Formats: sequence, structure tokens, C-alpha cells
Amino acid sequence: MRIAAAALGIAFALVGLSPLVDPRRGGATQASQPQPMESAPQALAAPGGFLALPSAAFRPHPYAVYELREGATLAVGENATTTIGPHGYRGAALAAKSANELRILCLGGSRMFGLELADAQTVPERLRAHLGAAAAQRPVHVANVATPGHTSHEVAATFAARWLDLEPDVIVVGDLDGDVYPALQGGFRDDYSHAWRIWVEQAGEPADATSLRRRVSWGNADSAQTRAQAIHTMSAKPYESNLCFLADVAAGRGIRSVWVLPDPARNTGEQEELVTTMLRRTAERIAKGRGIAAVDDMETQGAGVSAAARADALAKLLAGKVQQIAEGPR
Amino acid sequence: MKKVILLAGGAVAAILLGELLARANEAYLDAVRPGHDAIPEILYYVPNHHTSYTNTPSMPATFQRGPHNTLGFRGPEIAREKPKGTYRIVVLGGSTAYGTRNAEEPACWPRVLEAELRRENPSVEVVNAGVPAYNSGDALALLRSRVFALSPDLVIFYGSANDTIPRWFPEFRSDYTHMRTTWSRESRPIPRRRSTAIGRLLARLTAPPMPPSTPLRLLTSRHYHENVVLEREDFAKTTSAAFARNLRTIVDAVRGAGAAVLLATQHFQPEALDRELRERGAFYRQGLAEFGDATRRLAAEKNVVLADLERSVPVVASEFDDFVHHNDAGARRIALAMAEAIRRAGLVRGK
Repeated sequence: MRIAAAALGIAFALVGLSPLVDPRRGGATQASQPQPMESAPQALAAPGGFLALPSAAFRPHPYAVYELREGATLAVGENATTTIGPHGYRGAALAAKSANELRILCLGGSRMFGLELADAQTVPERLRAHLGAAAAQRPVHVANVATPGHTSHEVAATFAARWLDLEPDVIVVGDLDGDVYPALQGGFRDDYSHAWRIWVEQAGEPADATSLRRRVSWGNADSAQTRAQAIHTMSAKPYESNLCFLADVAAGRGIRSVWVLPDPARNTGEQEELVTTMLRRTAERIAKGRGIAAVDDMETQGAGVSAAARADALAKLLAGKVQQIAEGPR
Repeated sequence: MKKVILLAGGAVAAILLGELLARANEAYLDAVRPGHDAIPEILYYVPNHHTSYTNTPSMPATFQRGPHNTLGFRGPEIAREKPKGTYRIVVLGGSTAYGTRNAEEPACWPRVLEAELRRENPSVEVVNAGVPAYNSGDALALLRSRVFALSPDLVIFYGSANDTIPRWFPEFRSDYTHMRTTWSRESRPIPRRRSTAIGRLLARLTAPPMPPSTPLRLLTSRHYHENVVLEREDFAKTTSAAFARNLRTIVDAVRGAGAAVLLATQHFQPEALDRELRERGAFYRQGLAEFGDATRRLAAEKNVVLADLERSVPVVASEFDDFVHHNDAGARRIALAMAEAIRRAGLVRGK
């Protein structure tokens, strides 16, 4: 009996000492994932500002973290709201494409969406107004398919998986500084999984005013120190890859592209400006190398500090560029 | 002293006897129930915010799954930065690329293809980026978010069968989000692999409850009708347009990145469709025919290298494990057909 007990004891000891193979991290169990934290409210259009938006206006997306929810209403600007149509984007739905139509899709994040602007003041709406006045002989339709907070990863993903079906002639890509937000989170990863948290919609989940931050962000870069450290580990490679993807997919279908080169001064904070400058240079280089038309958001600084005035100034620049490329040889 | 020696000797004898019996038990189970000791399949997938899910990196080999390298691809480790002089081929697709019916990884067709091409050019490296149940939308998302970083010279897309599935889900959306959904997983213990049979047996007996053996589709797909009449109605409303769009996007993006593309039609066993899938066999028959035509049209239009496996590779029933998945012999046949298409196009030249 004693022998059996001893044998069993030794056997258990051996089992306990057997090598543990953790397929992911080299430990016995997966480490717990960090918990999201709340932070002080920020301006909506600033990097990470979109996280203060109510999650009820969005829903999880398997390829783009989240998307706008059909029928959702969002507060925009002062005393204004906007409603997302059944088509899933802001503004009127595009009808079936007509033969002579010039169809423009505006892709991007918070600024292109117009988080601080009423419907008539957004860049896509102003672009339509400027183009409509200039080219009465050709019907112009502009759709605002931007989603607040989307980075180059999500813009490229939704363009390929969804917006291509709208058959654009021209795409305008704004918010090319949207990647500042993940760039300044700690523990940089190329797929931005260090910044994005996977949002799973549970049955019976309350559609209340919980912020998007609680759903999609790890919220781990709220201190200046974290951001200062993050800038040394970030990489512009995924940004570059996504922009090339956007450019190549559009070109493969004969779709013209116009990119908005970001203005570093739009993002206050030393690190934010530095990253924006880096991203701007990358976008500029790709645009030049691939023959993509670009407008410079820095040129709209003279319009003043009002978001509406700058949106109009940018739309005017875009209208000139769109006219130029739409009339040129394909 | 004598007692201690007796005790120690008895313990060693007991352990050896236990190990012997446990090994006999394993040998018996191996024979009657292949894969009985496999790591639960669901642990081979990990949620991802840009592709819904992907292969879990750094997983050991088990029956018909793994090994996954640190980048999450089935096969040996590769350098993320492509070594100078390497001709890197990346295979995109679902289970028929991953090789879910090939017990051992070296029998999967991408690895057989690599061995075949290395006879002429030793610098060829084939990366199996197939992920079980991936459709063309998933593969495109993987290509964009992770494959371009590997600087491929050639991208092969093989596996259109899974694009049939979204077509019978209600409220079709061309981005497949009416079917594909996000999921997450709570932290959970990873099964412990032990070096002794008795250790494995005891671990199994004493382990905490294993993660639920929930099939992948229930975690990553929305609910569907489970009613073939409704499914037929939904399927009839759809076309192959989303598949064709995704394929075109893959071609444009890969070429834009300076790499070549090879498109392959799905090799399958038409006779097995109705037998194995019953009513849904008709969906696959129509879907695969449409996807094959779309692939051929695109290849002709864009002058893309085509491996028309559906039409050029003989169907040998004994080389299939079901209507679409190949066993080791079938995988070898697919690899040789791919190699032939690559050679014909002059993509990999000998050095």
C-alpha cells in the first residue's frame, strides 16, 4: 500500500514537472487581456476623440472593427444631429448609376464624416455644391462613406468589401492622419490590435450611451508619457501598405483617386504633430510614385479656425482637383 | 535503508508499468479513433479585428491541424522579412489550402508544391496562408492586413467553395457581414502537452473542464435558417458578383504590389455533392460552377495565370476525403497541377 502511494505521489510529481507548452506566450495560460479605462473627454475630431461617441450609433464589424449603424442618430456640431440612412452612410443614398454621372465617394474618418458639422457643412456636401455649380452638364453625386475613427486599415477594408459596389469614378481619401491614434498607443502592432479591442455584440446588450471607447479601445495611451514612448516603437509600414492597397485597387478599376495630405497643425500635441508629419510624408511619397492627385490640407489654414470654413475651403480645393482629373485621360 | 531501496524500486517499477499500460492504451486509441488526443480544434483559431478570426500563432502539430508558426501560418517558421534571393509564394484560401484532411503538415499541397519547385529552384519558399472556412472576403482581408508584409513574389488563390455559404444566409450583404461576425474568447487554459503517456493520461483525468468544443462556424457566423426551403429562397437571390469582385481586388492589389498572381478553380467531386450535402449539394453545384466561370473570365480579362483544376485535373474518388477536401494523394495531385501551371507561366525559373 505504501509502495503504491509513493508511486502515485512520484507519478503526480512527474506530471506536475512535465514541460508545459503554451502555444501563445510560453506560460501555462494565456495572460488576461488589459481592461479598458476611461479618460477625460477630448475634442471629437482630435486623435482618439471619436471614442467619446455613443456606441449605440455603431455596431461591430468583422473586418473593420465597427461600422455605422443604419438608422442611428448622432449629435454633430452645435444643436445639430445627423441620421445614418438605411444604406449605412451619412447623407442621401446613391441611386442606380446613370450613364453620364460623375460619382464620387469620400472615404476617411472623423473629419471627412464631419463630426463637428451639420449635414450641409460637411466636406462631401460642400464638394457636391462646388462641383454642381461648376459642371452643370454632368450630374454629380457625392457620397459620404467616411466612418468616425477609422484608420487606414478600416478605410481600405471597407472600400474593398463594400464601397466598391457603389461604382465610383473618383474616390477622395481624407483623414490620412487617422493612424495617429493607434500610432501613439503603447505596444505598437502592425495590425493595430494594440489599439483596437474586438467588439462582440451580445444578445440583449443595452443600446445605451456607453461610449465607443468601452467597446473598441484598450484605452491605454492617455498619458503624455505613454505617447512619448509609443512614438519610438510605431511604424508607418502598415499605413503605407494600406494606402498602396487603396491606390492599386482603385487604379485596377480605372477609379481616380484624390488624397488629402494632412495638416500636422490640426493635431495639437508634440507627438501628434510629429506622427502626422511622418504620415504626411509617406502619403506624399506614395501619391507621387503612383501618380495620384493630392490636395494639401495645409492650404486651408487661411480659412480660419472654424471647422465649417475649413471644410468649405478643403471642398473647394477638392472640386478643382476632381474637375481636373475627371476631364483628363484615364 | 533496505526499506527505502525497496520503496524507491517499487515506485520506479510502478511508474514504468503505468507508462507501459498508458502507451498500450494510446496505441489502441490511435488505431480505433485517430485524432482522439488532438488539441481541441477551436484553440487553433484566434479572434481578429480585421479578419474575424485567424490561425492561432505558435500552435503545435496535432491531428489534421498545425503546426502554426509564430506568424500564424501552417508550416515551418519563416522570416518575416523575406531573405534576399528567396522566391516567396503565398497561398490564400480556406480549408482546401490549409489541408484540414491532411494529418501531417508536410502532406499539405503547399508544402508538396514547395518541394516540387525546389527541384528546379532551391530558393522557392511556399507560405501556406490558408485558414479553414475562409471565403474570398476573408482571404482578401488577410492579404491586405498581413500578407503584403511578407513581400510575396507570387500569390495563389485557391478555394472558392466557401463563398457558397454566405449565399444561403438571410439578408445577403456583399461584404458577407450578414454571415461573418466578430467573436472573442475569454482567457482559458491551454491544454498541457506532456512528454510521458502517463502524464498525458493523468492530465486528461485531472484537467479542469476543457473549453467547449463549439464548432468554429457557430462562433464566427451568424445564425442561419437551418431550413432548406428558406435557404433556397435566399440562395436564389444571390449571384457570384461578390466573389468576382473580391477576386478582382486580390489581382489588382497583388499586381500593384509588384507580385504575380495565380488563380485556381476549385477541384471537387461532383458525384459526392448530393450524397454528402443532400439539399445543399445543389447550392454548391451552382455556386462552384459560377465561381469557376468567374475565375476563368477574370483570368482571361486580366491575363492572369490560371490553374483550371476543375477542368484539367482528373477526379479520382479515392483521393478525396469528402466532396472537396483531398487526402494526401489528392493533395499531391493538386500540388503537381499547380507546379505545372507555374512552370508553364515561367514564374519560377531554375537558378
